[in-house]
Amino acid sequence: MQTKFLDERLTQLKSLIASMGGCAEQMLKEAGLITFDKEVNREELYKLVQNREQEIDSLQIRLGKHCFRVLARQAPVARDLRLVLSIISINTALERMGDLSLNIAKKGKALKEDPLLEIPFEKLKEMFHQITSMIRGCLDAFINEDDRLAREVIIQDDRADQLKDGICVKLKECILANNDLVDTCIQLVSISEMLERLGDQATNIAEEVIFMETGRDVKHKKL
Amino acid sequence: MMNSSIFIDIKNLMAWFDTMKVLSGINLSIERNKVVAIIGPSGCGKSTFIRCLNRLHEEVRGARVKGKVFLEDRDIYDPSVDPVLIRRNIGMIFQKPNPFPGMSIYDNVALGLKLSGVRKRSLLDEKVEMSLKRAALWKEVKDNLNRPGTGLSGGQQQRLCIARALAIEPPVLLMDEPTSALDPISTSWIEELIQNLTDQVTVIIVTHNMQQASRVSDRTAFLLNGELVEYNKTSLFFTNPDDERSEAYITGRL
Repeated sequence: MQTKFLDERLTQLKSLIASMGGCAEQMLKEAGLITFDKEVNREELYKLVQNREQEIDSLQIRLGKHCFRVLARQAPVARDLRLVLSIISINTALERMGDLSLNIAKKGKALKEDPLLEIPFEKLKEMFHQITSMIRGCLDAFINEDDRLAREVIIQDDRADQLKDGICVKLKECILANNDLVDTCIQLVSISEMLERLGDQATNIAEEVIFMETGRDVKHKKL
Repeated sequence: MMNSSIFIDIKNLMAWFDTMKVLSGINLSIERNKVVAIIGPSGCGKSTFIRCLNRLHEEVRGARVKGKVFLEDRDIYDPSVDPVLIRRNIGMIFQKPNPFPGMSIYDNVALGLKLSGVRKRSLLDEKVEMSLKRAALWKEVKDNLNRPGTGLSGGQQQRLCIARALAIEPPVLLMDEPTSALDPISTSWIEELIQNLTDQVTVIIVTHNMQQASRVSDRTAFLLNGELVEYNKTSLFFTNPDDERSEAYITGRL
């Protein structure tokens, strides 16, 4: 009976992570729309992103309390313990993802366009897709308890870093070509850096999934 | 030649009650001055296992043992070995504290020494005090050593039994669920005591309390149906066990 009770609590923790993850995914998608889609009402969508960020914050607090109670009252061991420890780390990673997506939306809202910036914008779009895929991948890996998928996410992080470097090179060229673009280029560099950090958080989640599934700590190690 | 850090080496240990086999070929090596926890479901052979380590199992009618248990380099089942000496040298603490009825606290601790031939009063006094101190009971009883041992609280009685076992300075202490009848405060006393004993004693403890195994032991052995399923570092056993059956047992899903 005790195990059934623990299983119920663990399922509850997992579903809270799924809710937070869904929110984080949606926020990045909306931040992308704000940044790239000329047709959307940027202010309205930005408010929606702000609301989602608040939702993630309150889920973070709720999940933290639940984890604390499970550790104190159920004293899980082995895989159950690893699951709770991973959830605690993933909880933090998802909250940070929410903050980053909100900041991207804020910067995206203020962006000005210029024909010279077409290539960096395209590359940034590609980076958005890459990071979205990583976030989806790490969340799927967590929900499906799939450490193989988690490894694939970690491998994708190198590509995200390359994309960011490529964007910075292009933006440098744009600044040299037209000094008036400096402010916009700085915003774009900032967005690409935040996307890179989102990728890092997705990697952190993927590492937690591997730990949860295998007991192996792969942080700061080559796979 | 045994690895020098191995103190107790158990080779293919089997045990029966009449025709019922309760242990099937246990192999286990225990290092000196370490705490080993034996866990497993009821009836898996945990108590029989530790009772084989001081030759107590064979005292039961119809019970028998096969295999070898080396204490350092000597097999305690060698025909030349006197089982009484083995039992005297390997201390044992049981689930229920069992101070000798009608005996004072002092005499409970001193009895083993007297049976070993110690007669000198000053030496007895010294050993009794030292044993009670090691068992963390001295401060509570030092002013009333003539009180009957059975008049102490449950937790104190168990510490008295530990002091009694320690008096003869055994190299090994076997504990069969030593805290299962005690409250959490007495339990934590005993657990702390176990940790403090390892400067001189190798402790093998049978416990149903997995948190206790996790707290006090260096290594954990998991027995199931008389077989050793896993013997691992405790830190690994409770976080990432090697065997699926261990995982299922400690998470309550066996």
